[in-house]
Amino acid sequence: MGRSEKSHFWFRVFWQALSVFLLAVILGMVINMSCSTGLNPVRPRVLEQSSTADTSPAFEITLDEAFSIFNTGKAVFLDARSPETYDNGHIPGALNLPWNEFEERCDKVLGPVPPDTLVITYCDGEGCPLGDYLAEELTTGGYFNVRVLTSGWIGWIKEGFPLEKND
Amino acid sequence: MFEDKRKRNFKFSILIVRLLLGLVFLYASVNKIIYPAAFAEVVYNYRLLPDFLINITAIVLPWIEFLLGLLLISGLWLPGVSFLSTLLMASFFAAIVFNVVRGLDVQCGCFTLSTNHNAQTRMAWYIIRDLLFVILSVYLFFCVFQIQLAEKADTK
Repeated sequence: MGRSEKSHFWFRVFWQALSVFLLAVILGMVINMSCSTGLNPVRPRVLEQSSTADTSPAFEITLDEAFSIFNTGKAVFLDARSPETYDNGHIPGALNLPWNEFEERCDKVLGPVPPDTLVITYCDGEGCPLGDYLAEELTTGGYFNVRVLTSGWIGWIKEGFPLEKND
Repeated sequence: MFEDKRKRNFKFSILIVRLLLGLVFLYASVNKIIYPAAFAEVVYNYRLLPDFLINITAIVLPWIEFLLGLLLISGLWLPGVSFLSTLLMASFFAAIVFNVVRGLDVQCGCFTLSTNHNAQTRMAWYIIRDLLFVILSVYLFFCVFQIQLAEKADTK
């Protein structure tokens, strides 16, 4: 293929690819605007509108509140992280219900926990939605007293609160 | 005659690969188009894009995939489409490799990969799958390029 034919080929590549991209942008924006499940393209934080990981203010519990409740021993803490991470350090007395193994473990872990118990779920911290996911599952499963410690493990440790390890 | 056989082989490869990739793209795009919020969540969990780009990506990317799927299956615009497909697949592959290297479990967006064996297996599978798609895309583009070459030679 001569040089002019090669450049003709790449010319086609460029325009065809660009056309697909632009068409996708137009289609995407139009369908999104006309659809009730659409997203706001300009809104910065996706989590603000994602129903699956939205910690509504009613659900959230602050570190201080969680700590005072911890001291009364009246709540069950649920650690949503993986078993290995849990073993390396968790809130004393917390039960491990890894989100990735929810189906397999939920009966065993939650069986002895009555539905009116105050349950506080947590994960790493602000960036991790697993605590929220656990809380939602629990709520649909009949637990009506569920809170999420959004500051999570990182927040707990930063305050120097007690921890427990499994060796 | 030798040239004809080569051309036929390339055309056959192109047919098989573009149908395969086309179906993959179509299948992958449908769920993302119907549930944009869930897909935006996934994009967010990759922790690669700045916040203001996440929703736009969640809106546009599935349609790029859908259009690529349609065009691949119908065999139209193969030069541009196979190139874009390679670009896309290579980006997905790079994104997943980068996240494995920095220990991010993309399913939850948590840096817990080093301690979670289930997640490690999952991420390894994503890498293998994405690499496969990159190889298929590159091969498709190569074949399309070769056909162009052969066809230009024929018209001389």
